Amino acid sequence: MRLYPSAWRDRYGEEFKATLDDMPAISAATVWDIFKEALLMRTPRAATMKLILIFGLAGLLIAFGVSSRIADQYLSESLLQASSLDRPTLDQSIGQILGRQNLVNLIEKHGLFAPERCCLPLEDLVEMTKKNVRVTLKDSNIAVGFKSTDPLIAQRVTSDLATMLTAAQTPGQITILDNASAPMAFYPNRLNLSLTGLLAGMLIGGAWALVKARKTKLAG
Amino acid sequence: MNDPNLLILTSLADGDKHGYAMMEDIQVFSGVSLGPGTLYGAITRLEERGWIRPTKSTDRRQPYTLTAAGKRHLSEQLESLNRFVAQGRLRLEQT
Repeated sequence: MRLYPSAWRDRYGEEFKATLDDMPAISAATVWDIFKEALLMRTPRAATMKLILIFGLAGLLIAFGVSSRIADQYLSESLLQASSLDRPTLDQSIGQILGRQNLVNLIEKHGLFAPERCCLPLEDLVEMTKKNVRVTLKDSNIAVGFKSTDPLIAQRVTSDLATMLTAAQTPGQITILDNASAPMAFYPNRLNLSLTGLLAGMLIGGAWALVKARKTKLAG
Repeated sequence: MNDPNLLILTSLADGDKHGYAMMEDIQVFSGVSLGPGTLYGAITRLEERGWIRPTKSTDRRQPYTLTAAGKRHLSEQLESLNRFVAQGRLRLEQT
């Protein structure tokens, strides 16, 4: 009996027990019949499954539609080595290439953020450029990269940043191990976004079915 | 014929019955042995659809009665079965 949903037990439990008491014997087939029906009652019904499926599909389509409208972001990276430099000197060099004037030069040379140039002040463009630069330090290795919706620009700016970094120190102190890599699309991950939409839709569908069931119960 | 919904509706067609009385009646008129789990699963669905409803009871046994919608549904189902049986017989005679 405990296998049955509690709401069902509250409504039918007593009369169900009375029916079992009336039976002359409880066979293995009867036990199986009771167990099987309890399992069926715990399984979401077709209407609930349909709601979950419809909402899930809608979530998937919406998420795919939205992710398709987001422009691809490309990242190119260059690997450098600075074996004879200490960390503070390295930080100083990185700070130097991310200085305002260097970034202004990059904006002008590569025509970065062309659509925004008409309406945004230069300082904002400098900040946006800075945000798109990626610098990662690991031991004596530096990975420098640039993110852009234009793969060619991502690669060219990365190449410039690497060159600027080598030029920031005495020649030979920072060397380029790998030139700016072929740009790779890293955002948006359409599969992940679509699956998230599917899952969110299914959850909303499940919640909707629960609310509907509760309303029907209250109305009854 | 072993659809529990139809068996219960048919059992209640000649008067109110509680769970065990339905099981015995169904066994007699159809030869189908309905388990208590199957019986109460079907009773739950039939009550949700408004085809049967509980009547007043003086003990733990709960009798059920057919509603007007239940009678209509049973009648439609039997009509459909009649057409099916007639069609089956006709086709058998033609071969």
